[in-house]
Amino acid sequence: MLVVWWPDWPVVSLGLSCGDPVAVMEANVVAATSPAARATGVAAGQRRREAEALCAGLLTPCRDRTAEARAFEPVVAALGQVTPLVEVVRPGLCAFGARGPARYFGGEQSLICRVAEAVGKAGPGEAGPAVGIGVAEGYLAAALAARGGEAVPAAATRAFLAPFPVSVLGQPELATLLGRLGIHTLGDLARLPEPAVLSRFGPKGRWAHGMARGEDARLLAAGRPADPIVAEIVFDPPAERSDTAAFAARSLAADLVLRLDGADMACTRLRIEVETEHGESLVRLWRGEEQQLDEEQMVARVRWQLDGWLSGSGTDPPPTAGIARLCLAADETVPARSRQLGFWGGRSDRDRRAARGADRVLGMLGDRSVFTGMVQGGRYPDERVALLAWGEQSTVERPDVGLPWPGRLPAPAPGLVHAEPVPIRLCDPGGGTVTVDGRGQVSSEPRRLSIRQGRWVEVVSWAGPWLADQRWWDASDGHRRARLQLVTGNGVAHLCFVEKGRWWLEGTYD
Amino acid sequence: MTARRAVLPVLPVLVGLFAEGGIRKGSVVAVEGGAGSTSLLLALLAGAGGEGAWAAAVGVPLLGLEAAAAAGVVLERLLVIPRPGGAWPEVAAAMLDSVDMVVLGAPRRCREVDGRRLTARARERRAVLLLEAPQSIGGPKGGRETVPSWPGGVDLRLRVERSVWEGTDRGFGRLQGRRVVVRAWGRGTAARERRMELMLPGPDGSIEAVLTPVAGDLTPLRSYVDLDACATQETMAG
Repeated sequence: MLVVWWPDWPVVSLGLSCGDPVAVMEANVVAATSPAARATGVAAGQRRREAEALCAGLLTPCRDRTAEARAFEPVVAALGQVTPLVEVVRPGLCAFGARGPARYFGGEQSLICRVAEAVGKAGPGEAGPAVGIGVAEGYLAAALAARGGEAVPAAATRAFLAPFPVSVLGQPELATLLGRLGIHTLGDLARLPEPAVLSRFGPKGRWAHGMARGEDARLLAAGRPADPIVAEIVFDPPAERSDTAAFAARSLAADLVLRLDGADMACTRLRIEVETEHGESLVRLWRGEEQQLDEEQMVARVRWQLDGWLSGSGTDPPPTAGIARLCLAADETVPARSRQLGFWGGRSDRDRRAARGADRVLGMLGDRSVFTGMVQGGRYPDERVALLAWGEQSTVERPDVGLPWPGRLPAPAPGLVHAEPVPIRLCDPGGGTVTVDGRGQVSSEPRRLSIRQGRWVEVVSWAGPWLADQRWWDASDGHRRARLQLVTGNGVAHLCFVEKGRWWLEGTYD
Repeated sequence: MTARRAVLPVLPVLVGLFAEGGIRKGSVVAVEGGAGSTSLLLALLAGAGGEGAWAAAVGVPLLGLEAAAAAGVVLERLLVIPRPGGAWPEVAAAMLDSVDMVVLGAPRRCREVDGRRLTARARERRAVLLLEAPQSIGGPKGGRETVPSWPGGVDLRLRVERSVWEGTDRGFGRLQGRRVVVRAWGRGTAARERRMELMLPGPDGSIEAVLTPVAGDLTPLRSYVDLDACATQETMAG
């Protein structure tokens, strides 16, 4: 991965010099600062008055994200000379896979020179700070390497990451927590065993742990679908203004997210494709800043991109005609099953809130205390639902719900299931224990039932028996059972089985 | 916006039980013991789980998830915490913060302060706290218990009054469905008692209405005569 990073882009993009004290404001809070402002103690997150009190003569322009994107467009366009596959992460930060281009240009160092030359002309020039270019295995390492303008060999990734503080992961809550436990650097974190990290910090912790080990390439393991999910719109008449097209992008993004949800996927890299009336075609890739792109983020990126193209701020001339077609494609996806919500940050506010709650409970009760269910194939109540521990990616033994399971019990399913069967006694009118013979005949009619040595209740009707040899191939786990449904006088129905002459209660139709 | 709606939706067949057409957000609801209470609980979960809502089941270790799925509960959005142990008040509070409906297997003893705190938390977070009667299948009392008095008070109580299974005979057929009468009563807008006859569950695990809700006393149906006879037999047997 090669990362091109312009420090302080929100300041640079406004055409201000980094020598001046500047604090870019968003909603009356400092969003970004220039080095000169930082030197006086101004920091992101401060309120306007606080910042102004710290630094006399502080310039406080308002943040304009569209302008940031527009100003970055020439840089991205210039990188097009080096590789066609540039991913924009946010204005000021973009990346591309370095392996191919490095081979083409004769090594990583000459690739870096080449990139520096290309973006040097397109960038803000003398007034701005020097651009940072880093090459390393994985996105996190490359982004950190860009700070020092280094090329990190793949084998040294973990050693390179080790001295950085955990706060570079961009998870302030987790960083605070780790700090209190004496885990300050990525190296400290990487040394912990993975199961311990998972049980203590949940999925987020595991993600951080993987990143600290330099395994983010694996974590983001390219779900590049051969047949990507695409949403497109044709404008007739063609859209002349970027805001007309951006407006349409909203429903397009909603459509894309809906279809991703249907496929249980989340988008981590979005491809924006535009075709003009004259057949010009423009393509750009955007990578999610925090893993996956949600609907709002997609819309914002389309707006920025269209604005950048149509304003003609790139090195390429602006398109000569209106936009005839706009296409959004989920270029890279990850599975987005709900049990991974903690991992990928969730799809809706409600999902994220629920995931946070589940993580909190994991923190209180420990590993394997929170579950979600999944119906799977099987014959009997204790087999037909898999409990998936929250935060673990369980593989399900028998997921074939659709297959016929000969001998499975008919619906309805019991509302209460006893994972540990409860001992019961089942008697006929004469007081003898009911038995079932090898051919599925009951010895006598069930009449009275006593659960856990409790008082006797009348059996008013019953059905069965259903015979089963379960796992007969397995001498230790195999067993032969006969099941009965029993309805007692108080309106309760039970599911019972007999094995080796003893009766057990397995479920209650409550 | 759904967030601004005052009630959590219930299944259309159950609307008649709720004065406000749904379960008021922020309220405490008790599902009383007795045969059918689990099915009723699942029906409430199924109704509330639409529109992307999440639910949690805290301290209900026996809950049959296959039956839940058949009743229409979205299992992906049901967090199951079967054994919270002594930390149940904290776990329930964390869940009230995070999901729309929390089923709590009501403990037999609950400290005044815990109960009041959870009631207040539900109100503040606009989540529904659904108290489920302790399960004591086969225990000394041989059935379900009522929800003990809850320190913060209960807004609405629901009880399955009568339950008759259909489909089985002496050795023939199979369980197919159950006729129940559900009674709802409480305080405030729910002060007027409501009753309704339902198939809970119906033959395919879902829920069907048998009669429209009627105010006041329900005329006894013929099928209940048998039930009363059974009750007499049971007393004699016991």
